Amino acid sequence: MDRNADPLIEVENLSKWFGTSQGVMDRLMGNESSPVKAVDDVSFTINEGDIMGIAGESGCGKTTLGKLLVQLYEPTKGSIHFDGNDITEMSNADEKEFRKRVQMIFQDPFESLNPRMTVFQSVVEPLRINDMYGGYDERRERVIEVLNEVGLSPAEAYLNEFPKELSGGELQRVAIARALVVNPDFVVCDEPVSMLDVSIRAGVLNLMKELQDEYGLTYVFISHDLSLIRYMCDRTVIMYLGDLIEQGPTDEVVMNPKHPYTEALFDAVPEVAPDAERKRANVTGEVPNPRNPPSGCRFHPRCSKIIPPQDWTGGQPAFRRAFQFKRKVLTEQLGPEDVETSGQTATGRAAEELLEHGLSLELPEEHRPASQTGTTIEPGQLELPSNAESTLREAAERVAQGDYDGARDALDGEFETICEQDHPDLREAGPQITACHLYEGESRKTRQAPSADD
Amino acid sequence: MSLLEVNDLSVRYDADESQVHAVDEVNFSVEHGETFGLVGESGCGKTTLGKSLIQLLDANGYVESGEVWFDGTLPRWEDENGNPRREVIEDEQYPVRADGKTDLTELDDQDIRDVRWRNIALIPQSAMNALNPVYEVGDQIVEAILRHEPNTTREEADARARDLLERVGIEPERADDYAHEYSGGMKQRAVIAMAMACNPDMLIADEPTTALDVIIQDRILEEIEELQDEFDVSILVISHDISVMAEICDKLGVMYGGKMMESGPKHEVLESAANPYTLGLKNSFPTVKQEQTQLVSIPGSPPTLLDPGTGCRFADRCPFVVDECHTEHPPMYDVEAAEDGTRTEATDRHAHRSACYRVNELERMREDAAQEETWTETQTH
Amino acid sequence: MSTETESSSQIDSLKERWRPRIERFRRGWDRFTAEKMGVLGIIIMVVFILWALFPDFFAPHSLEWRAYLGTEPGRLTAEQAESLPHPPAFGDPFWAPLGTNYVGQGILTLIVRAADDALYIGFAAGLLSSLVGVPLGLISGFYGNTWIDEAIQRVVDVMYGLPFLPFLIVLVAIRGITTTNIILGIAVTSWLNNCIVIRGETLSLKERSYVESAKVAGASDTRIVFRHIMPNVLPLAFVFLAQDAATAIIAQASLAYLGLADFTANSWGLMLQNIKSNGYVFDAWWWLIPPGICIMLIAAAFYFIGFSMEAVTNPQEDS
Repeated sequence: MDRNADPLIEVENLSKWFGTSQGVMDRLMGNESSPVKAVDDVSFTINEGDIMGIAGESGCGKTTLGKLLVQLYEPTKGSIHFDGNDITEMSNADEKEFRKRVQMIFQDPFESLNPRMTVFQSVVEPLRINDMYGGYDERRERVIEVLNEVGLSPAEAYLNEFPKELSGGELQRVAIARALVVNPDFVVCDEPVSMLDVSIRAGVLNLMKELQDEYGLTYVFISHDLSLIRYMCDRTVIMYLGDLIEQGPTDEVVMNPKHPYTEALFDAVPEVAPDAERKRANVTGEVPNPRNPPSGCRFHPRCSKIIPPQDWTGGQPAFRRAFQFKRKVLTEQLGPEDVETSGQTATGRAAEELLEHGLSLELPEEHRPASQTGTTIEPGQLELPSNAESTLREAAERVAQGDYDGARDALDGEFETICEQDHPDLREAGPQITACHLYEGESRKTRQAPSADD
Repeated sequence: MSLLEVNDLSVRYDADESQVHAVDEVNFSVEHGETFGLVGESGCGKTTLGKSLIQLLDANGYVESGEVWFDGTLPRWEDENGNPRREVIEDEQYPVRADGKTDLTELDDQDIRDVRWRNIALIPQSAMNALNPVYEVGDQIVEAILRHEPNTTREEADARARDLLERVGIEPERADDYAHEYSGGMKQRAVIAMAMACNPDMLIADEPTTALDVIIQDRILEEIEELQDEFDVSILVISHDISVMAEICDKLGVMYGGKMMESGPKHEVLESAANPYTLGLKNSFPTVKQEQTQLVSIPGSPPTLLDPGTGCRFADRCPFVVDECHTEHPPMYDVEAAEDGTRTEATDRHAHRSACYRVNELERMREDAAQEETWTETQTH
Repeated sequence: MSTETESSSQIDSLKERWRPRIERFRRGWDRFTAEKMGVLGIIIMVVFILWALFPDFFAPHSLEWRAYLGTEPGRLTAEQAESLPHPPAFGDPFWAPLGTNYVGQGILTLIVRAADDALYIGFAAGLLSSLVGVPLGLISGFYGNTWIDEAIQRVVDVMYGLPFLPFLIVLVAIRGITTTNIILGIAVTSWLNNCIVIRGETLSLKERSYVESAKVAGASDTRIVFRHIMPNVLPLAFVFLAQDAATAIIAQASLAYLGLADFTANSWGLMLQNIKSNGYVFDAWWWLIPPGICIMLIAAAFYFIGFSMEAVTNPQEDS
């Protein structure tokens, strides 16, 4: 890897929001639109010759980000610079140039090729659009050349085939050929092998690596399969709910993750080695609705390492539970119906039960303390400071009586955390940059994003 | 005594004038409380095999030959202990054997419904979407119980449903909630509870984690492990993901082209693979935590199974192919004996077996398979 | 020398380029004929087309022919006049295999010579409806959810409110009862369904990966619409064409029955109107049934062909 490689793509504060347009009625009623922030304020740099991985679970925004990079979507905010030029403000001539230099490979090989066009017609089309290679014969030669390069030989046999006559692996190679026929510099690959059989994937991935050397390509490799990311990519970006939460050399991100979400992600991957010991992901709940992401750090409601305030005297795990209790009360997920003893008469007992319920977390067994049995936990066993415990009890009593407002008042101002109040910027943490308050590093300006060997 | 004994099972699909040999003469057994994994790529027959056990094939599919012996029998053939009655066993017309096992392939449509859910339950793919959104979750479990055990009263069934939910880690009060009020992980557990409603001896889990995000997959794998502990139920897992299999299964069966290529205890199959296909498959799995060597593809593509020829199904893509491979598909050889250099047909179906004529040359095969050139220089025929 | 090889290689490369299209056509044909209904439809259609193209060959007489008189002018005797409409007569006293109507015209002659009218209405109305509905549907779908789409859809919504037959009646009453006006009236209401369905199809096709690929490769909007979307939408358009044609024929027959037919043009619907207005409905089955059957058959033929076209565009195969 060229240590002084020039940045090829520079993304700054890029956002893409969907659903910002409102109907007439909404506007009349003064309703605020709540768009889906598929990509929110993302910044990073890709150097020439990199294979940059973009990883995350479904809904994290990685596919949207990929489409933004090839200008299939217009950004809502922010900018993307390709080789120095802002691609959102291109003239027609610049755009034509851009379209020759940047290509994309899609996930479903059966869908990304027009079923009514032969292999030849599909692969030659970019040449015709961009007026390359003179006449019909020259173009045909170029198509044959590139089909051979992707391993479909003899190419002549494939020219007149229709997509439904080919296998998934062959089709994906055709898609690669189509992307490369114009000699691009940058290719975005969106889950290129996830729909292929396992034993075929290696061939396609290895082909992509070979072609990188031959063509001097820069890749973006989008995948939810972390083992593929490890295999293919030099550097990796992890996304969660539209946020870029960690970025760095792949080895570091995998082996020494800084962000708790990254850690959970890589913990959760099953291992082929039969005796491999692996931790389960220490994460509660599920990915929330992207229309209403949590405030501050978007991951904080699920995070195992949530940061207690300065004046918290108890243990961190206890704070996590207390915070979760507060959330459950505020979102009215916890209620009198959750207890077996009924309301009025035995409020003491009911409140106690609510407390036990509310403080327990749905976690894999290995992360549960011994004191949690089933769905309840003894408050006394947690390292809760006494005033915290009495606040929680008071809130539980109010809830047992159905008085949510009272409970809210009791909890107001308690159990606050910077993770909820402040959205963390990207900051340095060892060789990576990460968006987590656990790390005190300086907030990174985007122009100084790490180069290949940082 | 095994719970499930599959003997020479062949399943076909009718396709115009010819047949697709989806499953061909497959033998394996599953013990009580054991988790058996059927692993293979698309088109290998694993899903067909799983469905054929409880006759859930598509309209044009049928069992051509073979038997599926199951340790259990129809309610009307049972005595007080749950064992088949003497006269049922001895009468030729009933598909019940001396050791009390029933041949599921011989049961008609009505009878097989008694077996489904009571003895063998299916957890379908995307199970989370299997819950009906307009009924309370608890009611759905109650329905399942009442349908298959009609002598239960509603109260009993209701109590059992709540108990089941609790055993999978859901508060019993949530039985009155609707599916959309459950989180994804809870839905998965509710589906498992529903499958366990009638206390089946065996579960068939069809691609339990495919298309799921990795953190939810983690939860489900944990669920399945807890299932194994809590209920002592046998599970037949069908998946193409070897890493998932490695975590939850006790034994594995590797399928290709409708045939079982290798089977045996998980450790042995994964660490001392004895079949060229398995060796090739292992080469194509990247890992996250360990250092990854070069991944290698198996050249060519899977066969169509439409009137397949004689000879080993993998012969066209195998780097170790010799003339003998084209005569007939190889029988299952015992791997332990092969390690010593002798080639004997396997008698114990629980042991490590492999269908390959060159099984006695294991050491060389394993060495060569680890080399990339072996695979890239194979000419596909 | 070189020019010879050049031109032969040109021919070769031309053949090369056309071969996949021919292949595809042949496969489409196979699928079409697999459906027996489509084949039946084509047979019926062919018969009617032959009637339209060679009426003199198929019809026993000309339009001027009258029973008993032939083509000579003359008067009928009272007896002869009373025998009209005459049931099928095979030579004695004249040749009319399907009998005659009340003025002595041969029924078979009439229906053969009216075939061209029915075909004309069917094809013209169907084509006109498609020519309006398909492009609008494509544009609407491709620019989905923008002002263009909204505008077109609002027009569609408004026009949906128009009830078909009453509108036709009014239109024809105002503008005059000519075949052209009937065709116009039919097209004006039937393009709506066309437009909506094509729009729906376009909206979904627009999201397909291969359209995105084309965009990434730099294809212009026009290119995408004509090269990628339209070919996948055309089969559906043909289905609609067939259905619209069937509807048109029946609509015209209905209009004729109601007395709003072009009295100068001989048509099956007109024949039905005549029998009704002259009071022979229950007396002259040979006059009543053939036009009705013809209308039914031609509508059915269009419909069957459309049905088979759907099999050809079977989504499992092509998309």
